[in-house]
Amino acid sequence: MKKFLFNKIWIRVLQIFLGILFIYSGILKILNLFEFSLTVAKYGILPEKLINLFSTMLPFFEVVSGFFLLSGFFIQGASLIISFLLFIFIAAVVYVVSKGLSFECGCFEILGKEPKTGVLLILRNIILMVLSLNVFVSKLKKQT
Amino acid sequence: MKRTLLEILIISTISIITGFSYIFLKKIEIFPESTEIYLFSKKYPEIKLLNTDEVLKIYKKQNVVIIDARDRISYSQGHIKDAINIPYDEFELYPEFFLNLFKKDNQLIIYCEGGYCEQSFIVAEGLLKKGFKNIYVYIDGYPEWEKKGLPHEKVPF
Repeated sequence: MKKFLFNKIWIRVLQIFLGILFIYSGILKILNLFEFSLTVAKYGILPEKLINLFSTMLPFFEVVSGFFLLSGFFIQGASLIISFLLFIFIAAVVYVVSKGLSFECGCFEILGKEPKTGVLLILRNIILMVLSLNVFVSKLKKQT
Repeated sequence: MKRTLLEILIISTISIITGFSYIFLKKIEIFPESTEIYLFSKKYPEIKLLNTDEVLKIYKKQNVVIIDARDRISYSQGHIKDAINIPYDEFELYPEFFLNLFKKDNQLIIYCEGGYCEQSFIVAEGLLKKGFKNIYVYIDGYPEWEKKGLPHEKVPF
């Protein structure tokens, strides 16, 4: 199992998968910034004054990190940033679910349908975070 | 670890520079003066929101009912063509009175004066509570619709 998790090809596949996913997700948000900012407001976590700044900067972190992950440069930094972003998404969805709310998550569409906040979304993000951490740890191990 | 931190710093710097360049180019208000639309979005998270383009795509469909949540005077002075008037204050007092106007499976698009009015959200939430599921709020509202020269009409009050 350990051998598989740190296998070169497996790590490259993860890099490509996560890279494309985050570039796609970021570009979708940039193209629909206003709608995304309204979704950010729905989470009720940030003060209204900061919503525009957060919802504009976040997609750029996604696209730039995704690009580096895909290109093979700065992989450690990119995978750690993506893991951190996913951690924030998980925390935000847990907060919303704990309040009993369910709405379109503002993440990205799958097969033309955007998932709603709920346990399935939390699970999906946990899996993505584990995959991203897998890339980070394997690169860190290789370095040391 | 030092290398990871350096990489994070480089990626963050590039992201921030490109982000701020986009803000500058698109003239986005980073700290908006009016945040009412965010307040409403936060207060009514389960209501789906549509902009003008999205409303245009669906409003001519048979199953769609457009609802004007403003008062009767505003409605008479101009409203989206074929919209029905359900003034939010009357709806709050006698919701049952208006429920026969549409079916449960209708797509209901509710609007008022745009991002700074809560009337459409009040009607939308009331309808959600009554079991209607396909409810949308048109966030740009009537002023934007009229400004774009989209089909609208007046009725004598």
